[in-house]
Amino acid sequence: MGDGDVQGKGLRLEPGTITVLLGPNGAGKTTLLEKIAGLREPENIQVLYGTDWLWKKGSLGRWQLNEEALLQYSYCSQSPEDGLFARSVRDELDYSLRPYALSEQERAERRDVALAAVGWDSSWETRDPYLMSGGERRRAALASVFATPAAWLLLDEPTAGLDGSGHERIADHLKQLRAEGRGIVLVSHDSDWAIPLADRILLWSADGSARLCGRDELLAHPEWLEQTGMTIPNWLRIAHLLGQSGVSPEKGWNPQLAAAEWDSISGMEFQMDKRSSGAEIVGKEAIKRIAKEKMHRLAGFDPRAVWLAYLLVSTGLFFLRDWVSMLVGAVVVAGLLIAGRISLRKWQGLIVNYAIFSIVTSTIFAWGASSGGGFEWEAFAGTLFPFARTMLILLLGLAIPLVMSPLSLRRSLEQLTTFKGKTPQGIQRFILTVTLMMRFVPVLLELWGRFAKIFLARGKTRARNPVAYGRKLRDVAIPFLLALFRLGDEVALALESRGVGVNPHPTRSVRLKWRMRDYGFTIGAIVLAVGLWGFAHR
Amino acid sequence: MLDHVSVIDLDEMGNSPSVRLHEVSLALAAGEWLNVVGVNGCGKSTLARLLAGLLPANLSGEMRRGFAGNGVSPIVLQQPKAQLFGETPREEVIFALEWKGIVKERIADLAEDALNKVGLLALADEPWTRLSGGQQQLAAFAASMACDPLLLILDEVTSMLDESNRELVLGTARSLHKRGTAILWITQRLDELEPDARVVAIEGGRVIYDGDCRGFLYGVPVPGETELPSSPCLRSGLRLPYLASMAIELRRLGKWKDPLPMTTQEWGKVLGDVGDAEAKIAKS
Repeated sequence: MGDGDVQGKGLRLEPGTITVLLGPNGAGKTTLLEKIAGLREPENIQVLYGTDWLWKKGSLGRWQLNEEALLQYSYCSQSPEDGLFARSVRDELDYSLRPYALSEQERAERRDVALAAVGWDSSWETRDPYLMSGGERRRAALASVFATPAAWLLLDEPTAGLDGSGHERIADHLKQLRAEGRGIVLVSHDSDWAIPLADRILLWSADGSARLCGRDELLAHPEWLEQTGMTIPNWLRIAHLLGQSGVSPEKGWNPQLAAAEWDSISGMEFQMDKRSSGAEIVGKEAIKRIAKEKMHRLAGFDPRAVWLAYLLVSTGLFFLRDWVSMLVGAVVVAGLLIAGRISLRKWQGLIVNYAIFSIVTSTIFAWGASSGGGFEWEAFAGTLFPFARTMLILLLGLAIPLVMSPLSLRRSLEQLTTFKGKTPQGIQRFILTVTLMMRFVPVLLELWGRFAKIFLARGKTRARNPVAYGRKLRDVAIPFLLALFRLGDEVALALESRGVGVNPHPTRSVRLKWRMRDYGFTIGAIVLAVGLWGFAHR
Repeated sequence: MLDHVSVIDLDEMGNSPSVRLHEVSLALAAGEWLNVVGVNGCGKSTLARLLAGLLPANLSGEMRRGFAGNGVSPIVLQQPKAQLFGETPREEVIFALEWKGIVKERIADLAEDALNKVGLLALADEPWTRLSGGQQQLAAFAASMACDPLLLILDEVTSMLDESNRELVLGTARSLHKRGTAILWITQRLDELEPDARVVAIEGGRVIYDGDCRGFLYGVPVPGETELPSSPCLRSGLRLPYLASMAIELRRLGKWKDPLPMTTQEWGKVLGDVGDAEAKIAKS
């Protein structure tokens, strides 16, 4: 097998070692680990597993992940149990093993070893992770990480939230894997658990500079942590003092053995860690003002005017009947987006997927429409047309949440549905639900991205054919939906505990005002809509 | 406030109950800071929801809300994302105040006041993307504090945060406590515990320790008893940190006696004291 090599920094990690990655807040330890695993753009880092580059130039000259390199590691994300989706532990382990061409016997052996590593016997294979407690789910997820024969293990906070015996069990297994010649890269905030376990420490600064040192070197030079931008934990200061007075590192790393040597450091100066945890931090943080972003120019209009304008222009777009007027419509939409300085970058994925979906559907239709098995251009264009028209309306619609906050949206909707100063409760609830959903769209996109990463790390495939897409959809959607339910639970709890929905008649502190400019805005939209209608019926 | 309270979870078939909380009795005074520790799944969060006044099904025993009143007390959870409903801290607080039915004229002032309490006034109109995870948690604090609750429940609010944000959030919680709010601080991180503060340790749905934090780490010595106390921290299943483990070993070796050091200052003093004692011996 190979060894991992983070090029550009010229860092070389050896197989058969445990490397603990340490860095200050914001240095991006998780980001680095994801880059090593190919789960995000490598930017300035090149990674080499043995002789396999992680990223290779494909036939079209685009950088592509090298599947050979992906097979070289097993990756454990933070809270890995959230990524479980199979109905039994055995299926879960087999899923991680699938990319590796193994015989059934080899798979069975690996499953047994992995289960033993988390303290389970083979009777757990048939258990359903969905019905397990949080701690058991973590064990199942760790077992599926340990199951693969990959040469490298990349672990991000594997022990967060685990009990003491869980820490011990994982430490024991990591030592065993090291003895087998596997390489381990570990991120953990439990420094007094992780550092004594390590062979090497990778100190990663916020500016991207790095230093690789031996564990015992760090014991002799704890100030390196400060140079990297971290504080030296008190336990390490005391272990350092013991080391300075001649106590061997083996004893120093172990608190029980170190205790026997306590007398040797009596009277030594102990530089205290003078971090404060008081209220004054609040003031300090508040002073850090950030340059104000200019309000979006559409935010100056009454949200109701924006909505009305959207409805009018969309209606105008609906009248488009032929490709020439569609072109004009596209120019109008593009013009509006440019005039409003709205970037739809955030929705790129959605837009691209919609476009692919439209073209694929139209193509299928075009093949199916002809009796002779040929391709019917007319059928293709005919099917694509309504898709394209909807796309234009979609593009405008997607712009609205970018320029209006859900709160102002809620206000405008509530005010539109108010009779004699009161909004009917059913409508009020409906509006609250809709606007909360809008608020959570970015959260959901992020959540999806997270499970897509876990899918890549476990599935080890970058295939782009329809079958692979279908598989990805299934394997990402299940953990995504489960996470969604948990999120919904938390949202409901947070809302309920703050009394939202308890009071039938909440206050409206802000009343929207319809001003001259809103008339102008709406009239402009009417002109556009009529213009589009007129052009379509020319 | 709680007297022999049990919460029992029924499975899909409605039988073979699993117990989330078992015969828990607990009293919380107005204005008190209570730490709650335990491993994942021990029942901490169930306790948090209970104390907030959100009653689960299958509850037995007696519960009196006392000073916290009959309404629901605000809870702040681990994930900032799941509990922010506005787009900026100010919107968040206004959202909370509106739903409390506060009169329109007072909302702007009360919002300023709540943001000021958590130190977010300067960042009141920044979108979430420009705030750190810790600052987002503070916004959730502000929304919770907007109506001056007597009890604020903070359920592992620092677990997703890095060190500096953790200190920011913990420091702000302490300043809210100084202003008179009772705080229930649920955590897994033992370095957040102050020696003399009260901590309740939960294991398997039962309270296994209720006392000060030093006693939680090292056990409470019984006068006249020769046997050394055992560590409730270990009994609760949590991992004993390096320094605590070392101190317990030193006590076992007979070199140290209770009270064992816990804070940075105390460890510094222990080293200094030993030094002084040695120096005296050397002189005499």
